[in-house]
Amino acid sequence: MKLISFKGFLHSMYVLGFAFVVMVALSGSPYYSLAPTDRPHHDMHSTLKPGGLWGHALGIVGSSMVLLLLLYSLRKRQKFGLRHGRLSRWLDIHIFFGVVGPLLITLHTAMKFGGIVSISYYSMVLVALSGVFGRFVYMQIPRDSTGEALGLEGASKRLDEVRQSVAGRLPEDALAGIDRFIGESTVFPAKGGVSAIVMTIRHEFAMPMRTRRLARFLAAGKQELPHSDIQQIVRLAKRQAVLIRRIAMMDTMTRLLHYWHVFHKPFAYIMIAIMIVHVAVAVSFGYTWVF
Amino acid sequence: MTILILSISALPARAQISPGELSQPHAFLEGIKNCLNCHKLGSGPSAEKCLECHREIEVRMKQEKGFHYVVVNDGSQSCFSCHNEHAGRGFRLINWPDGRKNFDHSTTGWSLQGAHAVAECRQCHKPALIKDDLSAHRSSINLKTTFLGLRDECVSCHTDEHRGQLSDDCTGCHGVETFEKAPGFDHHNAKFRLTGKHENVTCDKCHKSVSDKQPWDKNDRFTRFAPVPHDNCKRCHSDPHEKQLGECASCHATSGWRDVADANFDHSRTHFALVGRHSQVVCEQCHGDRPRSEPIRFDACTSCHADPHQGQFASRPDEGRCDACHNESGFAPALFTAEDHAEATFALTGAHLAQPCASCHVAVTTASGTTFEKFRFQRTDCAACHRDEHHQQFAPKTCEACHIVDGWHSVDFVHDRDSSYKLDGEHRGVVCSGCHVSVGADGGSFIRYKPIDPSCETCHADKSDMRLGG
Repeated sequence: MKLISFKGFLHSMYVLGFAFVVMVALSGSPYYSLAPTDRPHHDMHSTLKPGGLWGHALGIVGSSMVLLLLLYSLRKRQKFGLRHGRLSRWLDIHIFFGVVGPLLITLHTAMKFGGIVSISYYSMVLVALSGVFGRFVYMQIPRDSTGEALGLEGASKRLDEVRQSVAGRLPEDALAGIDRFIGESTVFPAKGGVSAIVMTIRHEFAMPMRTRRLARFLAAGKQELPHSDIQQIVRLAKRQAVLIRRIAMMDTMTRLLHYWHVFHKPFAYIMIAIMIVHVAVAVSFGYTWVF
Repeated sequence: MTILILSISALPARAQISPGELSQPHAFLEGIKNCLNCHKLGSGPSAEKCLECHREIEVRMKQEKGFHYVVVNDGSQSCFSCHNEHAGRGFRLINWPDGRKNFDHSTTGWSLQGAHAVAECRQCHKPALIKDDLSAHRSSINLKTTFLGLRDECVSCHTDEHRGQLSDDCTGCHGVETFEKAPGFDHHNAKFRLTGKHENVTCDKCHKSVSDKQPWDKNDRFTRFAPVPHDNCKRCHSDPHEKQLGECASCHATSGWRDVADANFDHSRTHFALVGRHSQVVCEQCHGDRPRSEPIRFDACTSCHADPHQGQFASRPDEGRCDACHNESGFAPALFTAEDHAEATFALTGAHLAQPCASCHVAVTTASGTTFEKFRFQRTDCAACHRDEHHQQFAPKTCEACHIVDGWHSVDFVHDRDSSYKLDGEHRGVVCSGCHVSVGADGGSFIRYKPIDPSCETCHADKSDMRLGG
C-alpha cells in the first residue's frame, strides 16, 4: 500500500523546497540587503557568503539539482539504461529541480552577480524561465498518462471517448447546452506560434466563465441533476473543449516546442559548461566546503 | 548556438574568473594573471602570499609583536578573517568592528592609558612619528594611513623635554595622565637629596629654564635637571660671608640658614676668635636668640659686657678700654699691677702696696641703686680713705705731718720739735701712753694728744705720784 502518491510527494517536496528557500532568504535578508562592500563586515558573511558554510552548501545542493535534472534528457532518450519510470514523473522531477535548484543557487550567489560565472547564472535563469514556457507549450500537446504524445489520431480518439462519456449520461436539452459550450470554446487553428499562444491563453482565461455558465444551465434543467453530476459533466465538457483546442493547435504547438528546445538547451549547456569551470576554479583554489 | 553564445560571452568574460572586484588598495592585482599572487592552488587565499607583499607585517610577526601577531597567534583568525577581498573597489579593507575609537589597543601589546586613551589615532600614528623604516619592507606603504612603525619608547613620540639629561625611562617619573606632574620622581633617589628647607622650595629655584636654541624645536627652552652642580652650597646660594668662612655646611644646616650647627662652628674663622673664657660660654650668651648669622658688635668688650666700672675710666687716654686691665682669662684678677698704679693719679707706696685693692676700691652704691667698685676718687689725701684716729686733735695738720705710708706706727714725730710740750727729765723715759691716754667711751674713744693741760696735776695727781717721775 502506498503511503503517499507521487503527486503528494512532489507537492511536499515543493513545500519543503520553497519553505527552505524562504527561510534562508528571510533570515539572511539583513546580509543580502547590504551593499557588497559592506557584507564582509557582517556577522553572517562567513556563513552566507558564496564560499561560506551555508552559502557553499546552497551552491553545492543547487548545482547538484541542476546537474540531476539533466537525467530527464537521458531518460527521454533512454540513454545509459534509463528506461524506467513514467516520463511525466521524470519531467515533474526535472521541473522540481529546475525550480528549486536555481533558487538555491540564487541564494548561493548571495545576490552578487559578476564575473564569468554570472553568465552561467543568467543562463540558468533563462533556462528556468524558458522551462516555464516550455512546460506550458508541452501541456498543449495531447499526451497519454505516461506523458507520451498522442498524436492527432490518438487525440481524436481520446476526444471521442470524452464525448461519449458525456453524451451517454445526459438528455437532449442538456446536450444542446454542452454543444453550445463546446461551440463557444472552439478555436480555429493558429499557424503562428505567437497567435497560438495568445489564443490558448485567452481560451484558458475564458474557460472559467463558460464552465460556470454551463453549470448554471445544467442546474436549471428539468432533470434536476445532482450537483456532483453537474460538476462531473462540466469537467468532462471542459476537457472536451480543451482537447478540441489542443488538437486544433497541435501542429503549431509541436513546432513551437521544437523551437523551444533550440532555445532551452543551448543555455542549459552554457550554464553547465560555465558552472563546471566555476566549480573547477573554486575547487582548485581550495574552496572545498567542509572537505 | 551554444558555441556562438559561449564565444560571444567569452570576450567580456575574459579575466572574469574573479568573484568580484578587488578593493582599491589591491586594484593593481586585478586580472586573471594575478590570482596566484594571493591564492595558493589547492588551499585558497594564503597568508604567506599576503606577507610576501606585506613585509612590514611579516617582520612584526617574526618578532612576535604587534596586533597581527596577537590576533593570529591563537590560530582563530587569519588575514582574511578581517581583510576580505573581492567585495568591490569601495570595500574598506581595514574594518573597525566597534569603531576605530573603540579599538582595544591592548591587543597591539601596548594599551592606551591616561591621556593616550583620549588621543586621536592620528595624533600618534602620523608620518612624523614613524621611526621604523617601513618603506624598507614595502616601498608602496602609505605612511599617512598605516598604523605601524611607532615605537613604545615615550621619546619616539614625545619631545624629550629634558634633552637627554635624564634616563630614557620617562615612566620612572612621569605618569600617563599628564607630563606636568612627575609622581614617580623622588628627589631622595637623586644624587642630591632634598633635606630641610630644600624640601619646600619650588623646583625652578634650583632647576632653571634654559634654552638649547635648537631651530628644530619651537619650544627651545627646557629645564636644567642635570647636571646641576651641587658640590657646594654656593652653586645656588650667594655667600653672605664673601668667601671668608669656607664651606657653608661646616656651620649651616639645610633646616635653615639660621640653624647654624653651633658645636661645629669654628669661631676663629670669624673676626672674633673665641679665646679664654669666651671659648667656654654658650653661644646664646653672646648671640642670644638671634640668628647666629646676625652680626653682633665685638669692637669693644662693652658690646657684650656691662661696664662694671660704670665708666670711671672713660676719661683715660684709651677711653677706658677693658683690655688695658683685663683679658679673656677672666675679669679678675685684673692685669693692673702696682707698677701700673704708679702711673695712676695715686701711686702706691709704703704700706699701700700691701693692701688689697678692695681696701681702697670699695663697693659703693649710687642713689639709683647701682653698686660698683670705686676707682675714681675726688680726693687722694689720707682722709679720703682713712679715718681720723685723732678726732681732729691735730687739725689743720694733715696725716703726713706725722705719719708716713710705711705704716701707721711709723711716725715722724719728734716731741720736742713738733710739740709745744718739751720732754725732759724723767718725761723722756715715759712711754707715750703714760701721758696720752684713751678718752671717751665705746666707739668714740681715742687717745688724747691735745690739748693737754701742761700742768703737772694734769698727769700727776699726788706726791706719791710725783715720785713716779723721779
